[in-house]
Amino acid sequence: MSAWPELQAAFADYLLHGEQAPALAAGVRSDHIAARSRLLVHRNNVFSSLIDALAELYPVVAQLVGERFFRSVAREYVRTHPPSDPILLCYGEHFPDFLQQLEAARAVPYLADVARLELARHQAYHAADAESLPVRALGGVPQARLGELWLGLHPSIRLLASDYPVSRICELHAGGSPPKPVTLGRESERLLVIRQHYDVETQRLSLGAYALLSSLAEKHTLGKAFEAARAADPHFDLGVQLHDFFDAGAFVDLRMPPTQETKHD
Amino acid sequence: MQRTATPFEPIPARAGIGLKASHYREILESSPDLGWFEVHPENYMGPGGAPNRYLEAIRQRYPLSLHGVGLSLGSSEALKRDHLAKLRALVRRYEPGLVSEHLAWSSLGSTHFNDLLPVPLTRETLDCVCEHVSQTQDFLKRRILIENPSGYLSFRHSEIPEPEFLAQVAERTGCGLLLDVNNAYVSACNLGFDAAAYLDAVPARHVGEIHLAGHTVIAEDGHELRIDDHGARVATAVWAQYERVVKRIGPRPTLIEWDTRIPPLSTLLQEAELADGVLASAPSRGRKHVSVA
Repeated sequence: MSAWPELQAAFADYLLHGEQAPALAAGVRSDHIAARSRLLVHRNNVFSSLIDALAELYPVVAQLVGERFFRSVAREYVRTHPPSDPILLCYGEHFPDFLQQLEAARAVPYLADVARLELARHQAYHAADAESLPVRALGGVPQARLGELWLGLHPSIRLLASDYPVSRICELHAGGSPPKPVTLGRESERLLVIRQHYDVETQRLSLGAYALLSSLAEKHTLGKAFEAARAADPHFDLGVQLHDFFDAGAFVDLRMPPTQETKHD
Repeated sequence: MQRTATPFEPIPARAGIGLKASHYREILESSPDLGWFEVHPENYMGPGGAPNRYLEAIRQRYPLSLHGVGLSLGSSEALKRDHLAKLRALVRRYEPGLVSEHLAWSSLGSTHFNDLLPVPLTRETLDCVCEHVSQTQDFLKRRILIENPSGYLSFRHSEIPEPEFLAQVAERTGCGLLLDVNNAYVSACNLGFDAAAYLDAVPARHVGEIHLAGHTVIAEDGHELRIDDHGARVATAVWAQYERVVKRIGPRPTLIEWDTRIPPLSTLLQEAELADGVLASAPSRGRKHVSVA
C-alpha cells in the first residue's frame, strides 16, 4: 500500500500520460467495472473540461477547422500545456503559438492570427478596470509641449497586426455557425482591441494610427509616437486620431515631464 | 431591496441557483424571486472587467455563496497561499453568506487538473484534509462547508466510510458540510452502496447547505456509470432522496447546479421552485442558517 503522496503522484502522472503505474493499478478497486475504466472517467473529465475551456475561448478557430480537428488539436495542447493555475480565465494563452507551429494546420495560414485576435478579445474582457480620461484632459497641456506628453493606455488594450483580414473573418463567424463562402482579398490588418465598460470592441486602424498607438504602448512620448506615425503615413493627422482614441477610452493616464528648470534644481 | 454596501447576509433556507454569465443581464432586468445565488470564486479572480461588475450588481440584490473548486484540500502537498489570498479578497469584497469547497484534490505540483479527484479515506488523509480545512478557515477567518464528492472509483486501502470521514472533518475542524444529494446518489450507483443509508449517516447538525444537480448515464464495460456533469434536470430518484433528507434534517439552503449545456434561466427557476416546494413542506427543525463563526 502506498502512502498518499506517492499514490497521488501516480494518479497525477496517469491523468496526463495515460499510463498506470503499478501503485495506482494496485490501489484502485476493480469489480464489475474494471479499475482502468473507472480511472478513465477522471482522465476524460480532465481533458474534456479543458478542451471545452479552449473551445469557449477560441470559437472561430473551432469553426474554421471543424469540431473534430479542433478537439484533437486542443487535446494535444492540453497534454503538452496543462494549466498550472485553478483560475482557468488565464488558460490557453499559448494556443495561438501552438497553432502556428502545427504542421497539420498549415492549410489555414491565418488560423494562428485568428486565434491571436480571439485571445486578445478574451484578455481585454477580463483586463483590469481603469477610468478613461476625457479628451479635455489635454486642455491643460500647452500646445508647444504636446510632444513631451506621456500617455498611459487602458489596461484592456491589445494591438495586433496580421497579413490576413482576421477581424473580417471573425465578424463573418460571429453568429456561431459557419458563414456562406465569401472571397476575401489578402489584405493585411492592424487592429486595436479595447474594452469600454462591459463590451470589447475591435477597431481596424490605419497604418499611422497603429504606429502611433504601438509607440505609445512602448512608453514613448507623444512626440516620438507622432514621428513613428508620420513615418508610416506621411499624411497622418494627429489631432483627428487623438480625438478618436480619447473617444474610445484609450487613455487612462497623462503626464508631463518636469520642466527644464525643475530638472536642474 | 437595493443597498449601496454589501454587509454580511446569511443564506436563507430556500432554493438558490448557480449564477451563469449568460444569465447576468436577464437577472438584473427581471430580478427573479429567488433566495440566493452561488458562484465559483475562480471565475471572478481575473484582473477586472464585466464578471465582477455583474456580480457586484447581483450581490446588491441577493445573498451570495462562494463555492470553490480550486483549493485542492485533499492534496498531499501544502495549500497554495496565493490562491487562498485571492479567495480571501473575494470573501472580503462580497461578504458571502456561505463559503464552501470539496473533499477532493485538483492540483499537484505545477499542474491543475480541473477535475474534482478522489481521495483515499484513511487516517493519513483525514489528518491531511483536516489540516487544510483548518488552515483555510484560519486564513479566511470564517467557517467553511465541505462537500461530499461524486465517486467513480474507490481505493482498496480506504478504511473510513465517507459519511464518517466527513463527520470527523467537521468535528475536528469545526467546519460544516455541504451535502450534495446528487453526488451521493451518483456515487452509490457507481460504487454499489445504498444512497439512503449514506445520506442517513451524515449528522444533521453539520449540514449547512444542500446541492442538487442533474447527471448523465453512460455505459462502461457493459455496465452503467453515472457521470455528474451538471447538465440536466435533477433526476427523479435524486428528488426522492432530497425529500427524505429534508424530512430528516429540516430545511437547508438548497442549490440547483447546472454547468454544462446551460438552459434558459426559466428552466433553472423552475427547478428552484420545485426545491422550494420540498423545503416549504418540511418540518422546520434544524438550523436555518449556518453561523459564520
